[in-house]
Amino acid sequence: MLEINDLKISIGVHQIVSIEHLSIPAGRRLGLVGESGSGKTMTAMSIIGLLPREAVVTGSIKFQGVEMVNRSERNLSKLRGSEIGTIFQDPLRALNPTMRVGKQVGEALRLHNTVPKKRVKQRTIELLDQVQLPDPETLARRYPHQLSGGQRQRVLIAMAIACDPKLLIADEPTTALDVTVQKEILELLARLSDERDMAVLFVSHDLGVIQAISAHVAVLYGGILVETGPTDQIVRSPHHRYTEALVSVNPGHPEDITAALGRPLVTIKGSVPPLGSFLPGCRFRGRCPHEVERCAEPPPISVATHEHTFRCWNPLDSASSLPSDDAELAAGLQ
Amino acid sequence: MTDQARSADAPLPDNDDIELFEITSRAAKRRVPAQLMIGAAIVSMIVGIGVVSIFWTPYDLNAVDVPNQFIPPGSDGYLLGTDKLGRDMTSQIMAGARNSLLVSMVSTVGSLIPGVLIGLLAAGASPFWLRFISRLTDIGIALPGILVALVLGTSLGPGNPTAIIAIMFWFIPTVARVTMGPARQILSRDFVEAAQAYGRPRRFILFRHVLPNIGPLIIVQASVMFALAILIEAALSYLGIGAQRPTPSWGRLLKEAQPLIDKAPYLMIIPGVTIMVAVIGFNLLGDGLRSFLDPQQTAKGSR
Amino acid sequence: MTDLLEVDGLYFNYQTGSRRRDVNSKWTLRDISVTITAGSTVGVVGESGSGKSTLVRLMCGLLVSSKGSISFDGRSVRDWLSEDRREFHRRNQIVFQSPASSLDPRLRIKTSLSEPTKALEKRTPESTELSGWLRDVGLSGEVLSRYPHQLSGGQLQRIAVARALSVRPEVLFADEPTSALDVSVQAQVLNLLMGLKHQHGLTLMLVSHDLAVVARLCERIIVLKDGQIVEEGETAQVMTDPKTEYTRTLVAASRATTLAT
Repeated sequence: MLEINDLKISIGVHQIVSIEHLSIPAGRRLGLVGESGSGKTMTAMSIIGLLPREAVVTGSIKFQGVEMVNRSERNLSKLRGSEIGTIFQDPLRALNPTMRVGKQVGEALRLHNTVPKKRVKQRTIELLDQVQLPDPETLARRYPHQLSGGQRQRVLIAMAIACDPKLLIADEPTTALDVTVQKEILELLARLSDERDMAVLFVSHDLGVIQAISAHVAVLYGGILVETGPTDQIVRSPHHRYTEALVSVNPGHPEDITAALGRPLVTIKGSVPPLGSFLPGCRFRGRCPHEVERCAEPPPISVATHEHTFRCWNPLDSASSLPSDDAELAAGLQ
Repeated sequence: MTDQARSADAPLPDNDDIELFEITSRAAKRRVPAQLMIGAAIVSMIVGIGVVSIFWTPYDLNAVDVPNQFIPPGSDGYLLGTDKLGRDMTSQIMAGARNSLLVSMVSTVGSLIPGVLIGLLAAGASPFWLRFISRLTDIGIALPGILVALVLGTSLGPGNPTAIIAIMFWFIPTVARVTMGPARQILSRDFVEAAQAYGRPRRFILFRHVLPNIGPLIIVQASVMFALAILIEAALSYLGIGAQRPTPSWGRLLKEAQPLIDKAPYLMIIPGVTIMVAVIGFNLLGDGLRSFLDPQQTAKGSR
Repeated sequence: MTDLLEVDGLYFNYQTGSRRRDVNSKWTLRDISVTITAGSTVGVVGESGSGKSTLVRLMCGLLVSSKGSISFDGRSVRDWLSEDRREFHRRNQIVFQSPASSLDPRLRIKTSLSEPTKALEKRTPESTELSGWLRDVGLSGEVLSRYPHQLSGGQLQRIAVARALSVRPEVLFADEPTSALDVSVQAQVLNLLMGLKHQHGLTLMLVSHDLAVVARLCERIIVLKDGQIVEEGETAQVMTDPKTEYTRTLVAASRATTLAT
C-alpha cells in the first residue's frame, strides 16, 4: 500500500534522510523508531509533503500506486485527511482553541465531502463514540481547553479517521500523555487499525511504546534504516549494533528490581554527531563498540530471516546472518 | 563517559522539528530584510538632515522676506520655495526634522523607562498587583491620546515640553502592557526558578534575567513608537499645541499652509509628504528589526 | 540514619489572588506526611495533577505553604527561609525537566555555572573550579564559552546538574530530569546521577512519571494521586506487590508501555 524507494531528503548541503526501501502493506502497524536527529519525523512528513520549503526530496513514495514525491499541493491536500490521516504529539496545538471540538471533527468530514451535510452531526457523534469519548453529544460542544490531554488526543484521532483513511501517520501521539492514558490510546489505535484495516505508521523515540502497538518496526539512525523487521524478534535478538544498544539503554522493568537498583545502565558512548559530520561508511561509526575496519564502507542489506533485515558489517548474531551478496535475494525478501 | 563538546553548528536535538528550525533560520538570518535596509536608509537621511540643520541651513529659518513670498518650489535659490512671509521652506523642513527627532527621542525614551519598569515590576508582583496594574494600563490605553493632549495643552500651554508630556501619557500604558506579557512568560521558565533556588531575590531576577531576555522586543517596540511619536508631534503641532514660532515644526507648517491651500498648495504638500516619508521610514525600520531579530521567521511551508 | 527532611500534615493551594476563599477550591496537596532519611534516594511518582512537582518545590523552598510543616535538619523551612536563607539553599538544590529552559539563553555557560556560587557564597568561582565541576559531569571545559542554544539537551542537563552541585548541597531534588531526553541520553544522565550520589553522599529526591526510571534509582517510592499519598514503601515491594488499586493500574500501564525483552 505504501512503498518507499530510494528516498533522499536534503536541506541545503545536508542529506538528512536516505532510505533505500521501506514498505507498509495494507493494515500493518509499523513503528518508526529513532532518537533526535534520526530523521523519523521528516520521513513521516515527506509522505504527505509537509516538509519545510527548503527541503529537497528525491526518490519515490508510492501510496496505493500513486507517486507522492513532488506531487502538486492541490493533489496532496486532497489526500491529506481523507486517504491519509495524521495525528501529532501536542493535541492542544493541533486543535483550534476557538472552535468547539464537535465542529472541528465536522470540518474534517465536510472538507472531503464524504458525508452529506445533514448527516455530519450524526457522524461526528458516531466518531467521538468510536474513540471512546464518554457522552459524545455533550463533549462535542466543549472547547479544547476544557478537555483533558487524553480526551483531546482522542478528538484528534476522530478527526484523523473521519474519512476512513487507509493510512494513519502518528507522530509521537502519546509522548505528552500520562502513562495510563497512553496505554488506553495505544489500545484504541490498535483496535481502530484492526477494525478498519487501517495501516499505521507510528513514529516514536520510545521503543517500549512501539512494541506495545506495532508488530513491525523500522529503526532509523542518522537518516538511514539500520534494521527492520518484526518488533518482538528485533527486540529479542537485535542484529545491528545500534538496535542492540537502543534495547540495552532502555531502563525497562527488570525481573529483579532489588538487584538492578543502583546498577549503572548500559550507555551508548558519545552522542549523535551533528549533521554533516558523520564518518564515511556506517553512520554508527565512532560510537559503536564493535566497529571493524570494514565499517568504513557503507554496509549493504543483510537478511536475518524473512522480513528481518539490517545493515551491519559486524552484527550481533554473526552466525545466522552474513551480508548478502545476492542483492536480488535480499530485495526480494523485503 | 566524556561527551565531546559540539561544534558551534550543532543544534539542540531535542526533536527533529527544532533541528529543522535551526538549519532553516540560520539560512534566513543571513538575509537582512529589505524593509530594514530601506528603513535604515530613510532614517539615516532624516537624521543627517536634522543634524546638518543645527549648523547650517540655506537661509535663516525665521527670516521674514516679504518681497520674496510665495516663490514656487524648484525656483533658483529656493529648492522648496518660500511661504507667505518669504521664509525659505527648505530651511524650515530641515530644521523641522531636528525638532521632530528631538521630541520623538525624548518622548520615546521617556516612555520606555517608566513603562518597562512598571511592566517588569507588575509581572513579578503578586496576582493582585498584577491585575490592578493591568486594569490601570487598560484605562490608560483606552483614553484617547489626542484628547488628553488637548487637555494638557490647555493647562500647560503649547510648546515642545507639552507635546513630549502628552506623548508620554499616550505611550507609557502601552509600553507597560507590552512588557508584562513577555516578562511573565520568561518568569515561568525554569532558569528563573533555578535562580530562585540559589537565592536570587525577585528584583535581581527581573532586571538581570528577565529584562535582557525581552530586550529585542523592547527595541522593536521602541522603533515603532518612534515612528508614532513623529506622527503625533506633527498632529499636535497642527492642532496648535506643539512647538510655536520660532521653534520649527513640520506639523505647524501644515497648519499655517492650510488657509493658503488654493493659492499655494505646495506649502501643504511639502511638509505633508515629509511627515509621511519620515513615518514610513521609521516604521520600516521597526518592521525590519522585528523580522531580523525574530528567530522563527521561517515558517514551515508545505512543498 | 538521621531524618533529614520531615513533612508533616502539609496542605498547599496555589493562591489565585482573590480575597474570597472559595470553599470548594481544590487543594493541590492534601495532608502530606513524609520523612526522608539522609543519604536515601526517594522517588515521587504520579500522573499530571498529582502534585508531585508542587511537593518538591515546597520542600526546596521555592513555594511556601501556610498549612502544615516542612522541616529540614530539625528546623522548619519557614524559619530557614527567614533567618538563614542562603545556607538553606546552599544545602538544598534542584534540577528541572527542560534542559533548554534551565539556563538563561543570554548567558554563557561560564556565567550560568558561576551563579549559585556568586549568590550563595558571595564569591566568583575560579576557572579551575568551573572546569572541575564540568569534569564531574563528564563535560570538557570547552563548553564554558558557549551559549545554551549551541549545546545538546544531554549536555545542558549535565550542566544543570553541575550548577546545582557547585555549592555542594546535601539534598538534590530532580523534577523529571530525564523526561525531555532521548532514551540513550537518559541512560547517561541517570548513570551520572547515580555516580554523583555516591561520590557526594547526596540525598536524592526524584520526581518522575516514568516508573522504570524511578525503579532504577530509588530505594523508596511515594505514589501521589490528586494531591494525596496513596501508597509508599520500598520500591521493589510497591512495584511487584502494590497494595492499592491505583498503584496497580499505574504499574500495569507502565509495564504495558515499557520495553520487554
